[in-house]
Amino acid sequence: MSQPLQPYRLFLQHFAPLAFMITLLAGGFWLVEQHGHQNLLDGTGIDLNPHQVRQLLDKFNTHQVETIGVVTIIALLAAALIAWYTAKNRLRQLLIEQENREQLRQIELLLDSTLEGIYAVDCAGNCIMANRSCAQLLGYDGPHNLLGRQMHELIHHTRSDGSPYPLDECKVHTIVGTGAAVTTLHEIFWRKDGSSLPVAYTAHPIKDGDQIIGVVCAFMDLSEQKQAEAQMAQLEDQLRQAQKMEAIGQLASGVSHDFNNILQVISGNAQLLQLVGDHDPAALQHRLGEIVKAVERGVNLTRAMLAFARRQAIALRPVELNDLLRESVPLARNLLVKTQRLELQLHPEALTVTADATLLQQVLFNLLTNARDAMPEDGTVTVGTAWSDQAPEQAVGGEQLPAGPFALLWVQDTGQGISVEIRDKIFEPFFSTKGVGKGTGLGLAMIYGTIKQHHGCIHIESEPGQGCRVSIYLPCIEQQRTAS
Amino acid sequence: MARILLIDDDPQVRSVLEGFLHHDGHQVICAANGREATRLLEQQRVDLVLTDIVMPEQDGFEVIINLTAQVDRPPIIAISGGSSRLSQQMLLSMASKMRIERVLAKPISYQQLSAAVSEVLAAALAATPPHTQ
Repeated sequence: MSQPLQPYRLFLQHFAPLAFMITLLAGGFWLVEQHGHQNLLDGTGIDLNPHQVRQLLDKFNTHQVETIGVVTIIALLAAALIAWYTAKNRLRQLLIEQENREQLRQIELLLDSTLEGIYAVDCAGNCIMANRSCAQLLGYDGPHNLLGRQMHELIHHTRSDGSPYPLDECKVHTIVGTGAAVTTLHEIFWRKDGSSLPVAYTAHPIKDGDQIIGVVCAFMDLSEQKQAEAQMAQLEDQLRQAQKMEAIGQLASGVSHDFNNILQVISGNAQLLQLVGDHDPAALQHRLGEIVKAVERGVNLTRAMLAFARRQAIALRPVELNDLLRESVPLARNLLVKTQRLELQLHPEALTVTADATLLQQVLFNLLTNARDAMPEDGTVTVGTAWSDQAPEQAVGGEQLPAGPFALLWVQDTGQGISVEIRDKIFEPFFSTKGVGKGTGLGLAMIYGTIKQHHGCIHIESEPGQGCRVSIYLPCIEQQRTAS
Repeated sequence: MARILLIDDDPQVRSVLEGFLHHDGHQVICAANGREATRLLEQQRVDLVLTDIVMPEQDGFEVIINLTAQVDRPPIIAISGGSSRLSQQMLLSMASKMRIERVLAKPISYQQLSAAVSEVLAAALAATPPHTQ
């Protein structure tokens, strides 16, 4: 802001030189006048009569008036010139000051229009500027309440865990020494009323040439974001709970169907035994055998449910897939009908994944069991490994997969194939296309869960009547040529 | 007594229910799913259809829909133990809205099945005009 005009200053600045100049001129003209008078006196004789003296005095007076007149005119002209020059300079100065005031006002408006709080401190950490949002967010009436205050002690004195935050550890303050900008995405500032304000801030050095003269800090209030995150977390938790309840409900429904059938068999055969008695030993044995089989079905169902529901603690370690298949194939042959063939096609290079070998073996056995049930008695199932740099687009469990490459474990059969309609359902718990007693409908659901635990996915290629190929994609951690 | 078509995909359940019906002197024809039952119904008449609901290939609802579309259809009793998608109550409720004669929930006792079959057959006989009996 410009200082008000002060008359004595104006006089000292402009009119004092003028007065000095006038005095100098007057003195000069007086000297000239005296010299002129002397010349007039020298022009006369030595003896002067009274008439001559009167004439000489008149000449002196005339000369004096003339001199004063000239001096006055010159002085007035000089004064006018100086006044004009002074006014012109002053006007220009006023215009410049007004322009500066307007620019400053615009900058203030811009700073006060942001949602972000902005403040600046000097090298000692004292506030030299704060915008309106800064004051509002921190709970102060206006920026003027912050000017001159030590900002770290005011708003940044304590960490979020309640421990003291020394000034020399403050990232904002250290900029004075390092000159490097700082960005912090999660920080706590403290309001005037003592409450905490979650913020994200970025701070930069203020430089005058090469010299750091302060720090400017811009911060954003994260309160709403934190609240939204908390609400989102709550909604996600509710969704998980709902999904869990839905899964439990589905599990219960699936269990009730199978167990009701098992109970029907047990209770029905027992009632028939009561009705028929022991008249027919063969029939008696048959009914008792049916009861035993039904009980076994119940046991298997319970085990399958526990295996499905239990969170298996998996032991991850590097597993070479070709080695795993070589070890598993002899056991796997026992799963097939004797007339069905099992063939092996291994990738020429070793494929190492991080996996639980036991669980992968169970996955393989489940897939082989499904292949056996889908094929005629003379069918062929092929088991193999492969490598791919990326996962297929239409893979089950393909959401949020890590980047490739992938090692593949695949099983292909020559069975009846899977239609598109069924393909979307086969991983649902208790869904089964097999007859009763040929599986619980949980095998593929368990495979899905296991592969998800291994951060992989499942791809199915099949058409009705053309067999089926199930490929398990697992993140490949190492692929190397095996020694020939 | 009566010729009854029994439809259930579970062979052990079929064996038990067949035993119940045989004990009451009925003749039982078995089918493992709706498609097989439809084929059998095209070949011979039955006096009663006893059908499970949740079955592969063609379930009990489809059997009921096909039968209830016929003018002169046999009486139908539906049985169910529930499914992975719908509860037992829901399934039986849906079946009963299809205007069949009876719905029964597994496990069914001999007495329940015997009574239901007797009542349904008696009602069907009473509804048949005298000259067609």
